[in-house]
Amino acid sequence: MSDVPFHQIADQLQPLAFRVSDLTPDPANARRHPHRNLEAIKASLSSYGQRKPLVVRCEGFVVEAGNGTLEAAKALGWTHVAAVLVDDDPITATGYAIADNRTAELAEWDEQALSALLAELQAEDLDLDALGWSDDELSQLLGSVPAFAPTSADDQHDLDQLSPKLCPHCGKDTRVAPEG
Amino acid sequence: MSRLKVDWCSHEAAKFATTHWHYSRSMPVIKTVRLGVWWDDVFKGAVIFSRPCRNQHLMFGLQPTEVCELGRVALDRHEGFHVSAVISRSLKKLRARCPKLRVVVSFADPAEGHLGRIYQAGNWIYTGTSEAARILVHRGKRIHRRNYTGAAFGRPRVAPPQGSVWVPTPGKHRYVMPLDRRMRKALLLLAKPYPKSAGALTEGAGHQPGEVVRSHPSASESSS
Repeated sequence: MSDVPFHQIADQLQPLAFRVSDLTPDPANARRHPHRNLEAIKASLSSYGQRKPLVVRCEGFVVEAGNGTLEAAKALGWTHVAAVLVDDDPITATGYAIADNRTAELAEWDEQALSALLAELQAEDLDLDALGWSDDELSQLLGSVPAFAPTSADDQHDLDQLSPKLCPHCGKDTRVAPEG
Repeated sequence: MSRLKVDWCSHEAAKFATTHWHYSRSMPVIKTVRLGVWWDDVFKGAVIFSRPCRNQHLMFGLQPTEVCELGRVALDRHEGFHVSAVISRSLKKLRARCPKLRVVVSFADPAEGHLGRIYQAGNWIYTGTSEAARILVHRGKRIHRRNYTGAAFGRPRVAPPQGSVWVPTPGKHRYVMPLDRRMRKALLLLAKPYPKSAGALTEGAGHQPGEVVRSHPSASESSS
């Protein structure tokens, strides 16, 4: 462990801090972390810091739970993350890694309660971007509609005209001329 | 000054309206003309015209550039104005923007419980149903053909989800709005009486004469 400050890690987790360079992402991880997911984790880490530890196997320091957090922390330039070490055999490690993801996946939102909570947070000027929803999704959850303004007629397509279809070889317009 | 405003809107506004307030939850992927609807300056939705998906112009003996489709009427819950008034104003703007258009076609899907009352209220001409088809249903939800063929988006063709079943559906109710007098005269020759019930027996154009197709049993009446 290093003696650098871990201000981004919750106080009681700081004794569990490891260098991110010492941890190995699970090469057999069945859970993918697409761009949007990573951005959401990054936004959460930036806003709230790390509040729960990763789970890491003693053997090889392979991450069982928290691979997304590790990737996001690296992307944020963090040098340390908190982790608990477990002495799992490979089968137990795989089983736990799947169960950890699957059990979270089976939870459901009470959309009415969620909407009320989001409205409260918004009223308190909390940055909702760190919660993982897109602007459109938040608008829908909050029941609000963006203030779209009318635009120009020039933004519209010409439905009464065919677009040129140019031959890739000779460059000529290949549209059939209307009859009459 | 009218509290209802129908004016051009952006793709983003139209997309917001369709994803929030239209059963398809999607925008047409082809060229569009988009009209936004505002009530007391609050955005209430969009009306979207596009090129017809199929060669609709052939049945009217017209060029492709003379026919367009009213593909989406996506409105939030509203009071104080009628949908038919919104469509009427949208048609005026469309006619001014695309003067060569002569016919607007629109469909009401009985499988979604739609009868086309907004078109009936607007004095559109009913011309019967489109060709009957079959749809894929997976876990009770309808899957659009393009979701598994990927054909329209240049994606590779994929197999339909396991456990999905084919369900026959009746054709969609087809309504047309002529944009000039000559066209109205010609289209009135194709006119049929307005359908009265979405659950009623409808005759599919693609079936044998006299063969009758029953609407999807789960269909329930609702406005678009």
